[in-house]
Amino acid sequence: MRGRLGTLLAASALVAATAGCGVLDAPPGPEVPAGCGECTSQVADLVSDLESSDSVRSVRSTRRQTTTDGYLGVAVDLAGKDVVSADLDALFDSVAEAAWRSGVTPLDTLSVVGTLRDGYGETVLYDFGADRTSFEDRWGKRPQGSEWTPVSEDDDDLEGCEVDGCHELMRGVAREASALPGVTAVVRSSYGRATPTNGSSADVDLMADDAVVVDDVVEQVAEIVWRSEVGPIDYISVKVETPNGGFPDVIDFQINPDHGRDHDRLEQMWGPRPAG
Amino acid sequence: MTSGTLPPIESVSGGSHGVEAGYEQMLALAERYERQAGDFVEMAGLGARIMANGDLLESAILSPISFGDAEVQVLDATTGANGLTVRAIGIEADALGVRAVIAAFKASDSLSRHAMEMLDNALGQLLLAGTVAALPALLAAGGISYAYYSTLSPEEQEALKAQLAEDLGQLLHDHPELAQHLINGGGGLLQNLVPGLGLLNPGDGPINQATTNDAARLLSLLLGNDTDYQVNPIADFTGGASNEVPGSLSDLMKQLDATNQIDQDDPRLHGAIQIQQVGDKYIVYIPGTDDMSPIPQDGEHARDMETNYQLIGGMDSAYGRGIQQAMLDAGLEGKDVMLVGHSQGGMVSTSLAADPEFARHFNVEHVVTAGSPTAQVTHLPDSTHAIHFENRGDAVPLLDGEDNPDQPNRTTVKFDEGSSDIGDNHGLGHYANGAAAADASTNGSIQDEITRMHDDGYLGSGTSGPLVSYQVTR
Repeated sequence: MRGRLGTLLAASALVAATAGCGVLDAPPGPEVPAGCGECTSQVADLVSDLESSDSVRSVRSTRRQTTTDGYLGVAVDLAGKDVVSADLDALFDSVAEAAWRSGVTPLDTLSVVGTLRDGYGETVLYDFGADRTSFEDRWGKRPQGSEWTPVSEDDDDLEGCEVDGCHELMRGVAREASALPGVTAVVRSSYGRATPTNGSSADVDLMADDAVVVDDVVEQVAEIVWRSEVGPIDYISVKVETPNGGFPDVIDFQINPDHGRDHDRLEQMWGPRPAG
Repeated sequence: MTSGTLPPIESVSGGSHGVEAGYEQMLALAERYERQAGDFVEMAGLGARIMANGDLLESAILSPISFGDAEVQVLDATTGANGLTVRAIGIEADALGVRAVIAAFKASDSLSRHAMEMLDNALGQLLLAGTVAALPALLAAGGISYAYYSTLSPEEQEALKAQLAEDLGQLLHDHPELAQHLINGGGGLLQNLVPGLGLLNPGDGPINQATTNDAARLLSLLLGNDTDYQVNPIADFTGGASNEVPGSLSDLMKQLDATNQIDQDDPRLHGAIQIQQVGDKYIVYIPGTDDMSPIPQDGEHARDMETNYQLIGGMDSAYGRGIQQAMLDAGLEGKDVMLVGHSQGGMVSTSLAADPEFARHFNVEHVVTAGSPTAQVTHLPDSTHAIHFENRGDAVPLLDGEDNPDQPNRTTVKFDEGSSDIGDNHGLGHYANGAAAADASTNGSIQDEITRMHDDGYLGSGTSGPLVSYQVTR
């Protein structure tokens, strides 16, 4: 048994070796400029800048990757109180602008994970490389010597919120949900585009007091999402955590118009979804 | 994690109430029969020894008639026609019969599996031969179809494509066994495609012919069979995961879904796994494929098709090795663990649980998989208990080409929350609903698994220990 497997492995390895390791290897991607590589000192300077700004309370962590392009992830505690009162665009943009002006290069993609004082968290991506002109219009040229990874043609057939995550629409959902009776905080309100292992979803996580009837709150939040222009959505997922409720309740509504089992029921209750 | 009613559970196989467990119980019964028969033989000998007792023989003179009567009774009860010795022989024969029946059942199971493998292999070979023979006709038909297709408006073309996908999805939902046999024929198909190479006769399957697993092995080798990995902690990051102890199978799926969503928020966090401490035990949440391209796109994703081919082929993978390293980095050496995986994550979980090298580092007590092909792992150690969830209409768990092995410590739960949309049927939301249906089920195999998870300390209530995140990449 083992002998034959060994023959198979050896023969196939020979095939692979003669054809260059990995006969079916993917074509090479764009070459990432060397820039400052891990950019340890530049990232440290950025962290220092951010921590001295009014928008940021602290920097939790940073992540640098230069495999396919120049990527920097920054997780920060933002100065805002909650999603209702904070100007999230301004807070996130202030972090992005500081990164734009930093010496980290190449910097093609910036990911900012921001958390407000009440625990509301959001991830905002800035495609500096792909939308360079529009960012230059806002914040001027990047520092002298900055490098860019060539932008590869993206043939993704994206629509609606798949393009930019519809942050503002999802914040609107969070603000409305915050006003529901018994809801003490909305800690997440984000759009997730479909992946190979999951459909597209609008996800709202909230904290509520023990007196709420979870099913009622969930249905009210689902209605807010339903009436919003967030789309395309296969699932509305609402997570409710109460102080003494144990593991949070997570309730999914399957609302794909073609096969989502909850779609027709919700449409009957709340009418057709807005075209968005 | 559901709205409305729970999906129906279609079937439960394996586990403590499965066929193999039944065989084991029958074997235990045969052993009891044999022990009983042994006891009877011993007791029969005791009767003769009692009658030969010197004191008893001396007392016979006091009442010879009574003694004679007693002697006849005792010898009849022990060595007589209806005595213990004869009964012991009967019981021995029963035990032998039970063993023979089990052997026959097992041989029948094995024969059936061999026959099915042979048929599927032949089907794969015939598919290619048939396709070649019918090539001119197929080309003509294809040309006519394409000519017709090109006359349609873009909207009509989209509608036609959607209709074809819908029909295929419906076929898969209605006849999952058909898809399974077609996939199982993959070995034969590839065997004919590369006849000169002679690569696909490893003979490590149940038949001495190429199987799906061999085909997957070849594909992974053609991709370079890369197992290099990188592991990095994602500092101070829990995403949407809860810090509560999961209380049910459904909770495990919710927590896994939170891990799965990490790269929905930031695609660069692909390959993220999470480890939750629960008392002195650890639960590792392992999501599935990120890059579904048949040929991996950027050489960075560990959760790609190369890993899938490696896992189906029973080989090492970058993802599996990376998970092991992440667990070591998290300080889990020598600890009791539960692995919870979706799709490719379930494949790698099952594979790691059966890997002696992995077992040297961790004690895998439980495995929970959702939408994963796992039959390629033919045997899990007795100390590991697994529960596999499969949604009807989800093509992914069928990719192993056969049913999961029936082991007493391995339960497969099939439920039906499928539609005609193949992609959607694989979503974790459906698996959370299927798990909730299992939580509510009274099936013995399922309930025994849940009870064991509670007893082992993986399910419960209250605040859990720390939850840490790692990223596994190539």
